[in-house]
Amino acid sequence: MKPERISIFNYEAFYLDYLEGNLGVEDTALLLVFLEENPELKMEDEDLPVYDSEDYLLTPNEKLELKQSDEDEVIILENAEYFMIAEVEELLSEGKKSELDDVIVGKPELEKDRAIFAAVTMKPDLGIVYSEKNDLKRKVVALWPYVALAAAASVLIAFFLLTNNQSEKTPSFAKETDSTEESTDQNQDKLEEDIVAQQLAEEINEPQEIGTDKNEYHSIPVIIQPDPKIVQSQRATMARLEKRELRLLVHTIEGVDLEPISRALQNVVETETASEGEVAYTGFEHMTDPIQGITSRLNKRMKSEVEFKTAKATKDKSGGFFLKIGKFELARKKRK
Amino acid sequence: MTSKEYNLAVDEYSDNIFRFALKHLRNEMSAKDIVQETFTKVWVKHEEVRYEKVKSYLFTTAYHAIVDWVKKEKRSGDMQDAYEQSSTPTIEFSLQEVLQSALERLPEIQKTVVLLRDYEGYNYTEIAEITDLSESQVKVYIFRARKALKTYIKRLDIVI
Repeated sequence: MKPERISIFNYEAFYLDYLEGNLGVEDTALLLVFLEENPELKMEDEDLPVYDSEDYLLTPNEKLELKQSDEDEVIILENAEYFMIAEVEELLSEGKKSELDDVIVGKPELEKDRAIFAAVTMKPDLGIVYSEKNDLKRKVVALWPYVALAAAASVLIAFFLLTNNQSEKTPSFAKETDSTEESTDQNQDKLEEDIVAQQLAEEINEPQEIGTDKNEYHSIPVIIQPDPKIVQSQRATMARLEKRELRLLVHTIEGVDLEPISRALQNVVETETASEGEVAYTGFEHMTDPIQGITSRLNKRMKSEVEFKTAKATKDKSGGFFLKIGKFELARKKRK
Repeated sequence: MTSKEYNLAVDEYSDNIFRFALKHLRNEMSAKDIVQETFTKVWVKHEEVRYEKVKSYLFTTAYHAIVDWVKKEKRSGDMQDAYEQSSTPTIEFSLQEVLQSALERLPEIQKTVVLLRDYEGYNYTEIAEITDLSESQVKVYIFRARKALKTYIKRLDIVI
């Protein structure tokens, strides 16, 4: 299909030629047919732009405004205003300022213009303030308290694991330890507690020789029984209880305020052994805090007392550690 | 820019952005919306924006938000009403008040460059970055605006 000579896409060019009297006879006929078919495209007289050269003359000032000035030009009356603004904008050199002074001097109208230009700089109204700043701000979440708490818990757990491992290295405990790992049932734990409590109660009723084994931990006093089988049984039971303390500690860190079983048991026998100086919760004064920065920050952040002390055992002094978070206290004591 | 630096920027520049928007829009609620929108956009990009550059970034964002707002309002006709209300002759007492009135009569782009220049002390290069103009365009607009302000003041025959 052959495209039409005059269409919606090109009719304007034909239309302008027609209006200016430059369109040929054939094209004029085609255009008139096209406009008949598309009456909405027909322009009325008032729609037609009329060019009258007399109406389109720019004034000298308008022409001046179109010209590009720069600060190196010679200052004359016609461009003095430009240099007055340039002066306000701090674009003039000292030399140009003097030149401007020379041009303006003795001309009150220009002097007044210069004064107005100097005055027309906007000053912010500092009384207008944005009153909802806090809504724009973002809350900063500090992670370090949680990290510090996790670090402290890790240190604590490491101590527990270390002490348990050392206990398990003792040959007489090996068999019992294996059986303990297999038995995690809470009923079993309860049964063990009952057994130990019963044994301790029997010892209190029938006092026997009380001594200490220097290779043992002293969070719980060791009561020496004449029968080696009973001693071995007690040790195995205590090892299992220590493992259970570790589990309880995890619960404590998660927010449950639990007290380790060994401490509860210790309280039972504390009166019996105090004279012998075997109670675990004494003699931590010589210990030091290896993570003082963390504990002091925790003190401030948690708004409750946090203490952590540790020391190596020597011939003269016992070693171990002591942890206190608020009301929760935990300690281990060891002698060389 | 960290969260802390972002919050510092809120303290430092939210008033400036608010005044800048208020001068353009002459509507407190709309100016507050612009501030909110500006800081929200900057927060989204806060990890990419250095604190040293945040003021410029804020003004650029605010400027574009204002331009969008003006376009939208012009379409709905509200801007014209606001302009007419603000153009109502009032008794003006100080040069700054007269200047504020004269500022309202400037074209938006001239108003923008003058505010950035006089309120915030930006140089031509910085204004050009904020407004997407060339430095020479910025200079031309500032010169035209100053001349228009001078003409307005002179017409009122205010004693300087």
